[in-house]
Amino acid sequence: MLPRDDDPDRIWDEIYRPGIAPLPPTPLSRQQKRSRKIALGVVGACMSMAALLAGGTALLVGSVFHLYTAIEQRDGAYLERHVDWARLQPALRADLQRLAAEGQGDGPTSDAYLRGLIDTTSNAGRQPDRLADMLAARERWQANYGPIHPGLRDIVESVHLLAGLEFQLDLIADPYTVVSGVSLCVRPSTQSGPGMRLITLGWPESGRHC
Amino acid sequence: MPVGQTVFPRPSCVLSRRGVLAGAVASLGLAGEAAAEPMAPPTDVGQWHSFRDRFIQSNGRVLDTANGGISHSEGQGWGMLFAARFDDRESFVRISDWRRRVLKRGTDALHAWRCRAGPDEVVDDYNNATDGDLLIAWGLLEAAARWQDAALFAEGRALAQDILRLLVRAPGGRTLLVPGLRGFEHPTYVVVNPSYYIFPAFPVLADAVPDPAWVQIAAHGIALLRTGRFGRWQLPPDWLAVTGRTQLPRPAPGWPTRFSYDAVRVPLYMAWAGLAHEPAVVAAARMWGRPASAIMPAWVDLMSGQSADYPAPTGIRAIAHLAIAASSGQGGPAQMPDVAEADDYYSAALTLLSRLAWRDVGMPA
Repeated sequence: MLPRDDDPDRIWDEIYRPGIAPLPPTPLSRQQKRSRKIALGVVGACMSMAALLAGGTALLVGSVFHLYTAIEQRDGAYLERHVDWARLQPALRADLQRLAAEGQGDGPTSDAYLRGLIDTTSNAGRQPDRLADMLAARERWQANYGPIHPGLRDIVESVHLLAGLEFQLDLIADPYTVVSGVSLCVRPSTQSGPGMRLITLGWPESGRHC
Repeated sequence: MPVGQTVFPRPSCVLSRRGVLAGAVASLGLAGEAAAEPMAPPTDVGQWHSFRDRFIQSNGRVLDTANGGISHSEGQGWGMLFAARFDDRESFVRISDWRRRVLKRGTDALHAWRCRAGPDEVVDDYNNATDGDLLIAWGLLEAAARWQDAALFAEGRALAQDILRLLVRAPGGRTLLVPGLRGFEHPTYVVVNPSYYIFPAFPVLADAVPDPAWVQIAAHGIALLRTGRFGRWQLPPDWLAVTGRTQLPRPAPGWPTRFSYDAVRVPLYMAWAGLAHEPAVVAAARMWGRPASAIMPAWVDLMSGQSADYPAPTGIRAIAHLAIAASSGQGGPAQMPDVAEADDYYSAALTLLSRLAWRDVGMPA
């Protein structure tokens, strides 16, 4: 309950007393100005970061989808432009050499035979048609069911940001999708317009990715 | 340009005269470009005619005369490979058509392994045999390269894909080829037939269907054949039981513990692939080449040490000759038996295979 006031005139005067001017705006101190600038800067930076992140994500998603479609449709021209051929073949070869060494274990080497087999297989990392062959080899059910065009969420299992703005996208292991279980390793490039370029592949068998 | 419209086929589908490695290496600078010339057919075409005229019917059916006239995917595959190698397209088409019409399974690209003897062409077991499917794929891809046939390439490629999809297992960290879709996987082990590792075929199939699994199959297969050897002569058995990588393989329970008609193909395929210095080949060459031996036995029991009391047929003698020459440099082509000397289909096929291997690995002509 409010306290009673026995002098209503005083209250009246307090409210309607003439000559009371509004308080002049208090000038901001230097410190306040700086804080305000910092706050504005932080907000701007956050907005820029968010825009960059959104743009980057869109670029990543778009690039992966285009890569996936190029593989599915065996689009050699697209793959030619969007694969880092200088990195891909040596990476594939190294991966296959490691698989062969693991498989052979100890004992006398069969290098000549296995090296030939590795050469044949890693040739897929030299040219677009061979890469399409290699990746399409994973399309286990395509022949029976025809091309399937899933959404991106049906393709990608997980995305990892690696050092140097490289990304690893683990595709799901599903017999109904092309390149089942393979990891695509991409990095930004402006060589063929802004987008991502495929730099190497990771195989589920090898346990190694980018 | 869609990749599917590039020049067909890849040239390294053809094994070069210098063998599998040379064939694979040759593809390095050529893949995706104009197709290379297929290797020239062997000059001893009479050997092929001898096989064709004795064991292949006019409808393309290859008869296993040592097993009552049944036919199987292995025989059709060998027939296709021979016809492709000897540039006999008419025979290839007949053999392949019969294979497609009678043995092809409807549910995948694999083949039923056996057709009963007789004119009614009844397939009584739709399980596949992995060696038969590997041989058919190899034959299709060699034929595709020789005659520039896109349809044969597509069929060989589909078969190679299904071999990877359906017949590869990885128990305990080993990558294995199972001998067939059904019947070889047990709760604690997998049964493997070492002679189904057709090493010279893997580079050809890997060229058509490049996949890391081929490297794993080959590498693990070589490792398996280093440890899966038994008895006095340290030879591989016809059938192996395989568990994880930490445990040694052993002769498969329920099968004879012999180095016999199946396992004799291990040194054949390994020598053909340029793996003549692998222990399995060297051991077989040592057993076959022992000077004290009055006869070359048809088989050896790896547990008891007992040998067959009858001599090895012509086909095994041909493999022995190849293995000894490839691993130790002893012997020349004059001692290689003729197909006409062989008593039956299997022996004749092994003889002709040995002659092709001799040529492929660049042994003296």
